[in-house]
Amino acid sequence: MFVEEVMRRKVITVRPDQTVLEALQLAKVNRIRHLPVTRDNNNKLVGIVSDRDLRDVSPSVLLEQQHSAVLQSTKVEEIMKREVITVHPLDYLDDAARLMYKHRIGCLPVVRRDRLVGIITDTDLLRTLIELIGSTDTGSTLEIKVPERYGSLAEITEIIKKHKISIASCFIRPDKSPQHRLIVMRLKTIDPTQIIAKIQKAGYQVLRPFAGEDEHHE
Amino acid sequence: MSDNPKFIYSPDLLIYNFGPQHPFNPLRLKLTIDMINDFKLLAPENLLEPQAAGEQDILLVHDRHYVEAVKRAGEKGEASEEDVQYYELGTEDNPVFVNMHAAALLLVGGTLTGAKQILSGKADHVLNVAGGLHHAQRAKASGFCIYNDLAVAITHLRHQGMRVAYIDIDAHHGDGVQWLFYDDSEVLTISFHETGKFLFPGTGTIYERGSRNGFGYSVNVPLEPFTEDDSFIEVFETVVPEVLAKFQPDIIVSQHGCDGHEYDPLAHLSVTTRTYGYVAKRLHDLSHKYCSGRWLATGGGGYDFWRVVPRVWTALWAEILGRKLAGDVPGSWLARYREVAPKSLPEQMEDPEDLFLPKPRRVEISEKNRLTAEKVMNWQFLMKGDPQQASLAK
Repeated sequence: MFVEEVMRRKVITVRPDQTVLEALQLAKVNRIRHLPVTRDNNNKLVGIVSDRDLRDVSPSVLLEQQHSAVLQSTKVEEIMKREVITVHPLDYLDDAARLMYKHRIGCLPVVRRDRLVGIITDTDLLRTLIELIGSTDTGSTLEIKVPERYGSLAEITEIIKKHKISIASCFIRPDKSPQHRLIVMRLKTIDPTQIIAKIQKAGYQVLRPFAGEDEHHE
Repeated sequence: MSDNPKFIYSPDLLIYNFGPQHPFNPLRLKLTIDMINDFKLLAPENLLEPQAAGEQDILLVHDRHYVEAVKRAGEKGEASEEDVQYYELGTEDNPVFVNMHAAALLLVGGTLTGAKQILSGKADHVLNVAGGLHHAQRAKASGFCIYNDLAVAITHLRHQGMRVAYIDIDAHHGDGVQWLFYDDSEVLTISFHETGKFLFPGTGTIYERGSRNGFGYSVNVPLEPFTEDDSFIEVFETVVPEVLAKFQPDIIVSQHGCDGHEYDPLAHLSVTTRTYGYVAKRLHDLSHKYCSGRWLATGGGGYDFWRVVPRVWTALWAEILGRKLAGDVPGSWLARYREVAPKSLPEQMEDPEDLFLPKPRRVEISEKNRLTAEKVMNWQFLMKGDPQQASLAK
């Protein structure tokens, strides 16, 4: 998945010569936490201000005056960060996520040929995560523990194919044991009981929907 | 106790049959009607034959192209690639059978007949155990359901000016009915079900609350796997009486799927006959409290049709009649089915308290369910007409 598939193209920006008060109001009205700073004429990224930067220079709310003069006299360029970590639209999403995680930052401006073309934030990453693992297609979800060797997924999907049941979503994630993987798949059926029985017969552990809570009385 | 309640039945309802290997087996109905008859609970004046629904009735909620596809597939008894692809007909869940369209029309007609009886004032309570196909969607078969009898009946009631409270206790989320009335503030849907994290259909989170005009009028209470009677009853009591008091329905439509039973092979809830008896009793009371007795009840899921379904639905019909049942399953019924049943049949109508060992995580599960119900109720002030909502809107 590329950054350009997830990034937002409409970016709210400020100019370096705008006041801190204007920047604060922009962030508040649009309910955003990051404002890339660009020059009007060429959309070139010259810096970034976060809500934290803005708050750092704001007077305490405990003080009485409403808009202190300093907010109107200070320019964005005086407080903005000039060293901005950016990504390219064709960077991989996981690399972008790693950057944000490693540097503990909440957003990455997306820059192509020196121009700001988009922005990607932690919110976008969360949305993507929900789309990936929170499939909303009607169906039943299975969690299957398989040994780390070739052919497990093929064997399982072959069983499902014989029942002519579609797979709405599927992902593989690491297990606690390094010799195993967890396959999580959503099947478009109300009755996965026969498929579960066959997967178990093939030697795989179906962790959910049973999780070994107890046995049904027969 | 009640004025001439009606039980909808005709042997023709057994034609809705997906084949011997399919869990939605017509034996579910046959075993139930036999048990009811063996209890002598069905006087001629209580029996009402279903009138098949007309195509115009079905089209109140279903897409014309989908209905055509059901007809075509039912003529040949086979589904085309498009049917599988677009309409989920001819899948393992929803196999095609000859005369499927007509069979589904009769089933829908059963519930619709019930709605019309109540509207005309000829009966206050009606039960259609063959109904309750809550998964069927506008243009798609889903989870054994071809046409949505509940939605057709509710739409009819709605057109006659009724405010409808729909209550669904099937182990699976009542998604078809919910989505068909998602924007509608005159139809309240409440569904109790096993969480969709793993179980079909996957929806029914507390965050699904209706949209536009219907915002606040969809209520979902997803329950943890292995939820037992006490916890189920507790969350039911937390939610239903208060929400109904605010909504002030004209009629209750209820779906009594009993696949949340400990024995059921498809879902993982762990309730017993106690929950089903309790819910039936409460809905009966509430129908008199708010709706002058107007109450249309249907069956639904339930796939342990030997040990669970006949007892639960027979007890439901007895509740509707206001009759107290003897504790024993009729000897004649047991004699007829003991030999052919693949499992040993219970001999008491109510499950014993020690049907199974307490679930290891009982305390945790109950706590989680309680929190879920509390969250749901925290939002209920968003229903229209509530003073809190009015002040919020200012």
